[in-house]
Amino acid sequence: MIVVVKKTVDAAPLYAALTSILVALALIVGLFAAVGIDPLVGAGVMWKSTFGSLRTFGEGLIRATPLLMISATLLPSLRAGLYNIGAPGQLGAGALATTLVALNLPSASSWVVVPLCAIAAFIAGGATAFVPGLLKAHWRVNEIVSTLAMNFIVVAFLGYLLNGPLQSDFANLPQSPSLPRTSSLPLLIPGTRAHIGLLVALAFIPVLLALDRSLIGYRLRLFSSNPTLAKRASVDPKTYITWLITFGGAGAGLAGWMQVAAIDHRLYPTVASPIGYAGLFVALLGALHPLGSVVAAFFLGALLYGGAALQVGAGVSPEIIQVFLGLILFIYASRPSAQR
Amino acid sequence: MEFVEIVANSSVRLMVPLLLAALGEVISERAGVMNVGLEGMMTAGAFAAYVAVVFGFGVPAAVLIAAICGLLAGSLMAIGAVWMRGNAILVGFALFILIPGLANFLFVQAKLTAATPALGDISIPYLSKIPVLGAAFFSQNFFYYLALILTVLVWGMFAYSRAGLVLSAVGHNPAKAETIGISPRNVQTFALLACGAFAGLGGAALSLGAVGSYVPNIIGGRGFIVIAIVILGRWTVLGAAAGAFLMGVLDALKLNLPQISDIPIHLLGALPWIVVVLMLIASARMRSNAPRTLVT
Repeated sequence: MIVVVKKTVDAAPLYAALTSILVALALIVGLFAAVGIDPLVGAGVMWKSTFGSLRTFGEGLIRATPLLMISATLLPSLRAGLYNIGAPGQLGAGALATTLVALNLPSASSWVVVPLCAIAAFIAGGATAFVPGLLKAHWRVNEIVSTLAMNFIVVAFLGYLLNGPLQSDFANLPQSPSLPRTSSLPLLIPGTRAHIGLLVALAFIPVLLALDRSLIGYRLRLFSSNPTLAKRASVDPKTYITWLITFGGAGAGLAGWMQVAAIDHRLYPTVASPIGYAGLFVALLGALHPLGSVVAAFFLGALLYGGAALQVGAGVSPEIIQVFLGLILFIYASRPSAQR
Repeated sequence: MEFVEIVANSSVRLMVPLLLAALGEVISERAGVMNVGLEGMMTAGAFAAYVAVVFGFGVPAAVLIAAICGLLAGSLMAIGAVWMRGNAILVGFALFILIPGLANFLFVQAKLTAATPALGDISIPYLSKIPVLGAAFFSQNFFYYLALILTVLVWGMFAYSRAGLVLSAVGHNPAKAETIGISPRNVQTFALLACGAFAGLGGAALSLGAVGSYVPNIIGGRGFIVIAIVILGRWTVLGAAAGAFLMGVLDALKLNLPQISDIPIHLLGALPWIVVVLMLIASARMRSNAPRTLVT
């Protein structure tokens, strides 16, 4: 039996992503006007705060990096119609693993600590996603609810650790002691905070592209388009479901590693906000294509940083970014071809 | 036995928002639409009711406004998932991001801080005097009685009315339903509007009834807990009610256990979610009467 799996680069999702962004932008302008904010001032503040200088450009980059990381590994599972919304929890698990490794190896060299942290975060994030993956594969447990449940479980666990055994002596705040300098990621562009995590995330893009042309990629497409047929072609759906979701979690774990080791240098319970869910948006807006993810990640990274600047520059609460993201996704999802 | 009394009382109070939202979710899932946007609809109701009371509309008007705002949120879901034939799960997820974001934005931007006046308890004579559990079940605020009445009505609708049959028919086989002159699109639209209104009431029951204020992210994942409740309840009204009560008890334990035990308060936050995962595993082993077109 010859199985032909159609594979074309479909331009329609790209147009859909662009239209969604434009329509959402128009609605946001309306909302700004309704609450009495000059949209032009807001736009000016966002533009200047993001592209005003090399430093601010770097700030956009460091927000884009974990988004790219999450979306790249989330792509394969989304293509198969598995909605893993557990990135915040998996990111938190990765951040926790990084913190534990770094704090326990205070005197080791950077060459040891940095890769060890990354591996630990990769495994911890993957393990956090492995549970919902296994439950989905074997007991058809709805992965949307179970991955979300894992988010709350991880947050509760972090809250416990950071108010108890892991709390820093420095202040009575829910945060860990600062990590040793040896765990920091090397900087990429001098004068900014952009770090080599960006290269790690970008490295996944050619891997994904190559995977598309490999046997695994072929089986993946077969599984994504028709699980029943895939099963007859001895592509075991249980294995694929489990490992696809786990892979997405492992990437989110790496994103947690980047947040803690490169940006914050200490762990706190809200480490995953707001990038946790935004990773899913990046994957969707990038039309589920690795290269699309790169573009969408830089767009959203700039948006996240610009949104935070709005508060200082134009007196707009940063929650507006969440509204904007929600609008984009709503318009993007409300079209017949988004159906699967 | 003071502790049991307190826990029973807050269990019932915290059950009410879940029960109201669960009724809505049963309706929408029986019609074949997995409504992931429930969290957003509950937020719409919680925030609208709070704002209405703060601006002096009075509680009855606030409850109505909450239901209407929930219904409007439901209409977004209907437009995206049913009329535009979009991806229901992603549309729902968009509402989960969009509506709490909008409510938080307006809440912060308008610098609202006022608390809402506590709702009076309505006590049933004699029954509310039963020791230990009497007050919990027979002396609660208005939302509790509203939830009980609506539960009976929705149960009756599925058990005895044509409307209930039509909803289930669309959920099981829309094509066949169409051949006998039912429009699946209209039925699912109605189901989502009703679901939104119920979720809006549930949100109001949380902000006005249980908390007495609005705080950002007040729903805190309860929308997803309700989805799990409906799955565990095998898409029946009584199953959903039992699940809502179970989760109400867990919520109450989460609040009250730290007073009598040494379990760290932060770890208790994970308790309802661990039970949710166990519930979903357990429900996969039960006899399945899932609406056949439902994507779970």
